[in-house]
Amino acid sequence: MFFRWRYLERGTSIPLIFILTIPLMLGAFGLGFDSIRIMYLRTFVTSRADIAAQAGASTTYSAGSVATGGYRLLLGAQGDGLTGAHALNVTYLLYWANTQSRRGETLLCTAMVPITVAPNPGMRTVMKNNPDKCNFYRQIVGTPPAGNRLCEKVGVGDIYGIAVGLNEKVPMTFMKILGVQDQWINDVRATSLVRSSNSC
Amino acid sequence: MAKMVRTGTKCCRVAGLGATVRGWRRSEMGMSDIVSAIFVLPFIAFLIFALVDTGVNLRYRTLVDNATQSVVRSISQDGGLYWSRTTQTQFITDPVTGVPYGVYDPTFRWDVYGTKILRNLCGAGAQRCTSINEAKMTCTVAGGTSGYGWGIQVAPGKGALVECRSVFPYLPVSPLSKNLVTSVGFNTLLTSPIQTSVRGITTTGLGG
Repeated sequence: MFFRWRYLERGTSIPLIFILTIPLMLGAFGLGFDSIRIMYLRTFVTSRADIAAQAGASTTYSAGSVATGGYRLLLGAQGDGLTGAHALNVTYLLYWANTQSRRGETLLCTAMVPITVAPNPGMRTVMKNNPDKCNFYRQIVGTPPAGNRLCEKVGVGDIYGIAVGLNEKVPMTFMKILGVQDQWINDVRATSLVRSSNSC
Repeated sequence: MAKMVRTGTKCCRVAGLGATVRGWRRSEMGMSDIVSAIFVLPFIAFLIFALVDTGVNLRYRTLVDNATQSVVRSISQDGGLYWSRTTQTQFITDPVTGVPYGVYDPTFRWDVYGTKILRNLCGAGAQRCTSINEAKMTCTVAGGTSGYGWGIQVAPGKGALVECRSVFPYLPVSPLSKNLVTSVGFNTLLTSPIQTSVRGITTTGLGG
């Protein structure tokens, strides 16, 4: 009887093991594929956030005269003052333009409406409290210089720029078959400071 | 024991070579194991190579992305080298050559520099490219030509849109990935050229 069992088991062992391990192999393949993909997308999103922050941190040498408060280094377009609303919009729009080609395919969301007001009490807290929400926050960080800065270098206390933070949702491909839900790329941040110094 | 000689390979080694051959001929069990293994191995090989090729492909996508973004960033900051309010180029010279920094070079193009980076990614023997000449980066700067010539690729002011497009003819690692059948359709993803575009905004320009 014992030898008979061995006789029957020998022929079916490899196909049986193969069939039994197919879900395991496909699962491992799917996990590897989706993990690589999410890693790539995280790098992609981080680099796009980085260049968006840099775009927002561009400066304008304001028009006018010293007497009228002109000749100042400002964030954003002329006429924005130190609110930098334009800079914040540029940051968002550039990020959107640079990631648009992957919308719907590999990225599911980002805030559709530009946020022009910096979140309060701060980007870090908002991102931390909403890790599963599609967010795109950008805000002015540091202290923009005030007053007429003609022919003066920006001081240490005047360092300022744009910071962005975002969460993106990534749809699963293979792992969706196994019931794994869409994953989040959470808490991506980038900061770019104004590099210009107002020296003559 | 007599049954073992007929059906099993373990007992056949004891019985000798002649018995082994007879055992294989009489028994289909040993052959079925080999056939099964032959049937299974391509499947496993496909999974392994597909995973490896996907990883390498995405790695090169990241490298091409980074190279493109690096050039966009360089262009968007390059104007500061030529703007008197953001640099003091007229007073700084290279200690070796004595040439002032930031001197306008009409022959320099950032996209030519970017193309060199992409072609370096192909490797010395173009291992990762189908054709090294097809690896190319092109950049445009909105308004970058006005008054300064086309070649300089520097915006006249801040806020100009910079866009660089890269094409990298990626060559898969595994020969399995190049064929429609052996790659189970993955070849369209793995053998198509990597294309990416990055946009940026100049943070400074020649005139501020």
